[in-house]
Amino acid sequence: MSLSKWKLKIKLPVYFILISVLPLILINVLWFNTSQKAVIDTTSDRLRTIVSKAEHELESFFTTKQISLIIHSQTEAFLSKNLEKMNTELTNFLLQDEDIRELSLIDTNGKELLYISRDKVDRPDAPRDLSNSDAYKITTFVGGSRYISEVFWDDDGIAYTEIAIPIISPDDAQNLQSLTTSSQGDYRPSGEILGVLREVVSLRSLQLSIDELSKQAQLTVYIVDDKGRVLFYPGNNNFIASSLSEVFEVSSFLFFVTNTRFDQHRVEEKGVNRNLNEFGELALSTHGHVSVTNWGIVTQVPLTQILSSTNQIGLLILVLFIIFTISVILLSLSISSQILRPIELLQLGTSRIRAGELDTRIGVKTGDEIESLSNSFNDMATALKTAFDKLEEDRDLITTERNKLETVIAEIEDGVIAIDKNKKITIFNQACEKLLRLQSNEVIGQPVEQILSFSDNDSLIPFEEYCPSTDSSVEQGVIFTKPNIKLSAYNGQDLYVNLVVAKIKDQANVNIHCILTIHDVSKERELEDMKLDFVSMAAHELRTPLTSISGYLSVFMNENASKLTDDQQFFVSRAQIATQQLGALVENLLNVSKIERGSMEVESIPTDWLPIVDQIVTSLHYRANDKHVKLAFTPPSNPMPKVKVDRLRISEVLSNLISNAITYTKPGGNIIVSLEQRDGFLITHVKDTGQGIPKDALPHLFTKFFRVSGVLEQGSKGTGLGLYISKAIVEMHNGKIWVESELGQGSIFSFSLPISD
Amino acid sequence: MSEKKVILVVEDDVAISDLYAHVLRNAGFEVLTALTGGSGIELIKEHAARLSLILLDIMLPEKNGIEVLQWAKGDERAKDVPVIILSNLAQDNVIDQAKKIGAIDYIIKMKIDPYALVEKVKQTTS
Repeated sequence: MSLSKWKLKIKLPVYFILISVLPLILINVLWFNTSQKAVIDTTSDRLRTIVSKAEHELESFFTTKQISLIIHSQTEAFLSKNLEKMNTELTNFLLQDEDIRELSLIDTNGKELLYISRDKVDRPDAPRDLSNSDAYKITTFVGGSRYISEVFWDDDGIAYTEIAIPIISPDDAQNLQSLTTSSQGDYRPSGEILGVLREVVSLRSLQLSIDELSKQAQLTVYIVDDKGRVLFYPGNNNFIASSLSEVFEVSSFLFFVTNTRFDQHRVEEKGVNRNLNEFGELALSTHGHVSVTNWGIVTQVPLTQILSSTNQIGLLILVLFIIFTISVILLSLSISSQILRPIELLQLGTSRIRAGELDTRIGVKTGDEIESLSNSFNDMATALKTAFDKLEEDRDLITTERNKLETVIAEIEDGVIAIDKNKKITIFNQACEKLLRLQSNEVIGQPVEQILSFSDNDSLIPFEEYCPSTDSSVEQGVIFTKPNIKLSAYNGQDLYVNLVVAKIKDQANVNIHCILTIHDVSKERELEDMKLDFVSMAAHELRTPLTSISGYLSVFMNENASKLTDDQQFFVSRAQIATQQLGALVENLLNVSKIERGSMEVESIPTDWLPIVDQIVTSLHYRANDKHVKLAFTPPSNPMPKVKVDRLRISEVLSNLISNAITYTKPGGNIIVSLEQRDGFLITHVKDTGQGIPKDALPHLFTKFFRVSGVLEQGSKGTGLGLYISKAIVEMHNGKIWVESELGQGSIFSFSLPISD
Repeated sequence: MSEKKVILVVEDDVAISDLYAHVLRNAGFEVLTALTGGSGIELIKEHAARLSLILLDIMLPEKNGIEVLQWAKGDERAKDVPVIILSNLAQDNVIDQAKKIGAIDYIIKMKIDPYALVEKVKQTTS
């Protein structure tokens, strides 16, 4: 796992430790190495110093002993060759040097002439023959050299050695000089040998001085002879006189020492070695050579000993270092937690926000960037909360509105169907389900044309007609209405409905193309049919007696005209007019019922209109004359084209308009009927000089049962059905009817009829 | 003077029947009247050969005018006798039906003056 993946909590202390502790470790190691090296260097120097001191001590010991022997051999007593004098001389010599254990004078034949001992116990009675001793042989025959014996020990463990020199004549004494100055200690007189002076020397003092050297230098200094025997070993007499290999463990150190014992070359190298010592410890060692006796000097000190102080300091440093490191870790943990605590708070806050606890706020008071971060965080949380609350509120509002809307749509008594741009049904309310016996889930998403169709008098109303795909998005409101049309569903359900189609604004946003409102008129239609049937029946039943009355009145007048007085005739004619009015009323009622029922039919055939107008105007002349109103028809000068009309029906319209004009025009007024050809239509105008029609009444003039009130009331008659029926008939001819009027000036009623091709 | 033309009036309303009979007789026609559809058929059967015109109402007891008309037009002897429907029933479908079966005219009683009717009868039978 790489460091970068760790948490900050771990990373920070680790960085801290790396930065502060690593250099410390480096410095320590460096210091330790350097100080160790210094200690070793110092120790090595000491070792070498001690070795040379020991060498010097030993060399000078033996040289001194030889020289003092030689000096005494040249004294006057010896020159005089007087044994008494020589005895005295040697006795004094023994007393002067405490190391000397015994002294002997040997003649040239090997006979002991004098013998002086410190103990004086072993003094032989007769002179000893020492001609076979090494001392005599080496000094007299082997080149006349001085002699130093091997070390030997007495019962008390004191080491001794035997030293002998040849005695020469004073003539040859000049060689003495070379003896004293020679570091080798060689004494090779060339003259005649007069005898041999021999002494046994105790090495006790030498041993003590070497021991002292060891002690002072805190080193082990020991001496071995050329046979490998340990001569001196400080503080341990058990090793003395034993062979090195017997008293010490065989080690590389010993091997080195024993193998180089006689190797002058190697022994003279006084380098310091690092070996295992005689106890198997790693030690620093060096060695020296005593040329007089061909002895070896070994000094060694175990590394543990010399480095113990350094090691102690190192240990101390280590302890301090551990304490320091622990402190650093604790400190860095505390610092990092101080730094991290606000971050953790932020993290906690973030996860709470994520969990939806929008009231979460972070109370970091560190006064630094983290506090401003947490402040920003709190601001963000506040903004989030506000926005969220707003959203919630909006959502509730929308839900409420939607529920309201859904409820409203569902509860509407009329069927509501919404259609999207792809002509598919998107809303199909409960009323629709009930009306068409369809479930909304089986029709929603289906193309509306496959589900239902509308037809008016058996002719299908195409989808494009009631829900045109005009792309003008501004178009809104009701775009199509059609009462009384047949709605056929694909499941065979048929019913009569009023259809209202609306478009809404922004239809693209809600994907609603058209909203169809379907009002079921089947029941109303039934009722209407019943009503119309009743009206029809009633009218019929009314006609029968009316027919009788008018018929008998007519016959009565016809047959008795000559017998009746003027008054009587007037009365009968009044009855006739009233009967006619009643008949017209019944007729109008019947027409209205036909119009309402849609059963009025027009059979349009190309017809010459002019003669019909002429005929109607003529037939109404007598009524106009009665009222003293001038009725005139001004035929156009140019020939008029034929129009497509149902002659009977359209005659009713013109009659009605002229009758109205007569009714509402005061005596002396004028009524002018005229024709005009315009835009493929033949327009008939009926202009009167009547009272005119109030402006507010104009829009209602052609509606059922409407009658202008006020000024017109007194003179008005009729049912308010005439204009309604006229309008229906004109529209059935695909024409239009309209009125222009000014109160007090008169009115112009006009209607247009399509010219036949 | 030539033999009077015979007109059959089938009309259930006695007043109207009498009125038409009166004016037609005054105009020189022989008039037979029937008050029900059934009796109308009986009279047609009886007088078919000498009938010049039948004035037939629609709303009749026993058998209605359409039934009578159908019967008449289906009868070998009567089928050539012209029939004018005289009714106050002004339903277009009935009018169409009557004309289809063979009535030569359909007149709304209310709209025709008795003398105008006489003129119409004269025209038809001349």
